[in-house]
Amino acid sequence: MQIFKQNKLMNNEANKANYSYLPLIVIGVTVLIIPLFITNPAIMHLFILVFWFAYLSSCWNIVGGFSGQLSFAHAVFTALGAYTSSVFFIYYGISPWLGMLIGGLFAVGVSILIGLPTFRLRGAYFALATIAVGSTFQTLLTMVDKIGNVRLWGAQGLILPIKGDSWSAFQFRSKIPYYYIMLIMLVGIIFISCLIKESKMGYYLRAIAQDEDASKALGVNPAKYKLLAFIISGFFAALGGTFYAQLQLYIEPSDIASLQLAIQLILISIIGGKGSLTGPLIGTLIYVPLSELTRMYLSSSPIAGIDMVVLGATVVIVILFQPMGVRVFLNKWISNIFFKQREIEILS
Amino acid sequence: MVPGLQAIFNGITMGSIYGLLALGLTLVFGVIKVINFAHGSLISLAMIITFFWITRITSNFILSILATIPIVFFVGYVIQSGLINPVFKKVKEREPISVLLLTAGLSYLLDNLMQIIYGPFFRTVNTSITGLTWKISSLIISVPRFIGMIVSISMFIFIWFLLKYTYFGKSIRAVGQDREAAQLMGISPLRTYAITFALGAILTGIGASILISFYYVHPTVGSNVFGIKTFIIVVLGGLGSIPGALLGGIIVGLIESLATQFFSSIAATLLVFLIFLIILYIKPSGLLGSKLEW
Repeated sequence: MQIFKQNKLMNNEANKANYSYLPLIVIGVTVLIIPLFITNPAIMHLFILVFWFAYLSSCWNIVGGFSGQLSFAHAVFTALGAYTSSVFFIYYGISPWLGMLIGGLFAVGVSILIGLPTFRLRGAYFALATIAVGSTFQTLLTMVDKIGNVRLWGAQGLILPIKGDSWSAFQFRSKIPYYYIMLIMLVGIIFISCLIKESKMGYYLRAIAQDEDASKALGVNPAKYKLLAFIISGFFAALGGTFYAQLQLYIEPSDIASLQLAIQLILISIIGGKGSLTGPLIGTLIYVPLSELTRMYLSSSPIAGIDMVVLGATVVIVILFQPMGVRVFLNKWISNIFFKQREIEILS
Repeated sequence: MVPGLQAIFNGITMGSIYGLLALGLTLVFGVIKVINFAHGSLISLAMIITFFWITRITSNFILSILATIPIVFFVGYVIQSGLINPVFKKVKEREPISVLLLTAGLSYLLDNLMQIIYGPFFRTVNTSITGLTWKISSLIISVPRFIGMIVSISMFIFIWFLLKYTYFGKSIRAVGQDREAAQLMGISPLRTYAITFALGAILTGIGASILISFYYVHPTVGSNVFGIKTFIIVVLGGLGSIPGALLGGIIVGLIESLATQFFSSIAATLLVFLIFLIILYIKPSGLLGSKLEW
């Protein structure tokens, strides 16, 4: 029995080496050449938004999935990124590329401010503190019209000046540059998540998520590693916010800073499977088309808003039947088809 | 008259209503150890149900509050026994994060369901006490808020008595302290959870029903206005602490009314948040919370 098991294990390894990169290459090439075939800017925009959601939920996944800390504050980070770069660009003429980094640093500051007190305690305190921060920040952005000479326009939102095609102003007439920039950012965040997951820190985070007391007893400092994960996550979420501002050239608090956005990121990660690299991607591929389709076909019906009910119900059902997300089913299904009854962690 | 006396009085009355809204949340947390993110949706739900009774069936305010209670009890019982308990059975952890996520998803579901059924309208209703005031020298007392305060304080006393002196209350506390030990003593934890959740829903429902006599009704008012306040109050007073909920509520109410009178509503939002952060730094377990790290 022992030998058989070992044999099976070795077979697994061999199979992994042979085939598991194949789907990755196929997907990579497809994604790279999509802009060659699709010229409709509306569809390109949808693709960019899919990547954007996948990017942000991957950011959320670093703190929410790996370390198991439920953050509702990610809309604060995206709003910080979007508003910082836009304000610096409009009032001081600083390129959004630089503003992006400044926004990221602000997000780091805020995440330290939230994380320091709450990570000393366990679980729900952090979630509650982030919900308070998130809603307060949205209310403030909605109400504050100007700070000193800088007008934030409150609920009306900020409009960025149009500069045409310009790399320094991070503005393009065509959607294609945006597509590739977002793609690079998405690949980047997956790569960083992968690095974190495979590093010592990743093991620490998973230990903390499973049993904080036990990990503490083994010499892991939970507060330190949770804070580190939160900082990394917040920084990259802010970069995503700047990208959104440059894509839409218009930002308003009810859109970029809303608790709704933060909840959407959480729902996406749960549907796909939190704590895994591919979970946020699978979640986005389910969530965004589902949300668009239900909106298209159901919102014109007399029962407007049914699309969001469907989404909420999906999440409740997924958690009731498979708390680890759709990824687990997909994994089983793919390994059944391609590897005949052998379960292989393709979608890690 | 002392300037601000009116604001202080308004703050205390409104604050004790906040406290009643937060009581259900803190009770559920203290026993089940689950932060119910659907709490705000329960507030809206109770408001809408009372609104329905009072506009369609009877114009008697007290009768419509009484008619709301069994419905919210049923909803609370079903949420706990039908949705949360199965996750508890599946996942053996004490405070599974999937339950938090479940309630977050449920909140999204309920809010939008109410938006469909009730419609995205801001409505107000004329109850028998709406707009009534009493005047004592120069102090103006709003009757609905004053009644809200009386009801809130009597509910706190009732819950304190229930938990402290009745057999039923003792079984709830036992499950809250140690689920396994309580089970060995012959108490069914999952059944106690369901009843506790339903009890929390009733308390929330009573608070929400009183709100409609002076506040507008909207499907997301619970999540966006009151739900977030109750989260802040509960952390401020101490998660799971029952007197803490009242204290936190009154503090938030006082800050809001004083800051709005002397500065602006932006200052009120900021100040509540600042005090929340300061308490979190100095005493993370809240004003009356136990020192135990749970």
